[in-house]
Amino acid sequence: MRGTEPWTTRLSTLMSSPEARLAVIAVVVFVVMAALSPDRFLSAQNLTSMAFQFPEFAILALAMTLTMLTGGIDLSVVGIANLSAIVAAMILTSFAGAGATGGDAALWLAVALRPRSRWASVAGLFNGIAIAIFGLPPILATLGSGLIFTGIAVAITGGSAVMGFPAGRRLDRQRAFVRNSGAADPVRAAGAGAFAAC
Amino acid sequence: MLGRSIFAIGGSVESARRIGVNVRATQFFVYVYVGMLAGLAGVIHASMARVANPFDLVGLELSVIAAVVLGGARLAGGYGTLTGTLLGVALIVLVRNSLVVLGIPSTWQSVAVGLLILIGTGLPAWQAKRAAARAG
Repeated sequence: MRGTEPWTTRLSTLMSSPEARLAVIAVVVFVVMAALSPDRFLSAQNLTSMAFQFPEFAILALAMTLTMLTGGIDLSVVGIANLSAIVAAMILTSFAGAGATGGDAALWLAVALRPRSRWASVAGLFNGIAIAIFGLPPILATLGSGLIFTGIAVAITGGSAVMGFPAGRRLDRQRAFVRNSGAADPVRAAGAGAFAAC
Repeated sequence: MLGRSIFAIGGSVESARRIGVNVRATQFFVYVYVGMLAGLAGVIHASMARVANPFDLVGLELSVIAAVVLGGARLAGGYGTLTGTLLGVALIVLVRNSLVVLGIPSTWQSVAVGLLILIGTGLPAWQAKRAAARAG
């Protein structure tokens, strides 16, 4: 009996932290789903789909956490994300085009990603000035600026999507990715993005 | 120092100012940094979808807030962890995909995510209230 006492108290202190509780819930959901329909839930396609959803969602959430820690909130993340994606896409498609491959495409990718990180920083700077200097409430400042950024993005493209990125090697990579059903592709995308953000 | 300043501002702006935190510079940094991260997420989205659509991510910000709150961060600030946020994101992605796999139509997804948020944030809040009542 004496041996079990410290074990249970240790477990209860561990479970009192919200992170541990969440981790347990996530694992339980995963295991239950895997048990309910192993062939569909554990399929490469489903795992790939989850791995693709994770990075962009998680990066936005990490950004949002930071503002929430200061007691603020940032509703303009989507506007900034769309605007900078469109700026990068416009540069890519107008200079490199769908025909570009290999080194040519990689070069223009690097060229396109530099101004987009500046753009995103400028958008953040706008929020920073409004909140830190003019003292607007974060929720109102970012709601307004988010609408502005989305509006600029819509105006630049005329409301349509930008397509025709350089082909690169995506198809091969995706096939290899599905075959291995690892998390290589999103991780690589995140790595490339982090490099460009520097 | 920067991280502590961020937490201090979240706790109380006035207290942070009085212990010598540069509130303006910290807030400035936070929003610029968040802008950069958002841009990064946008480019990743566009490069994975192969399309840059100005209407693509609209509405996602509320799911993001849900994930962050589910991860244990307080809306009022001063409390929260990055690990919790990542776990919150993982949980929402898991539940969304599970519903599809189970054959529940995707039109019911937002109901499930809404329930998840209500339970995930309501339970700790209720527990805290009960603990406070018991303490007197």
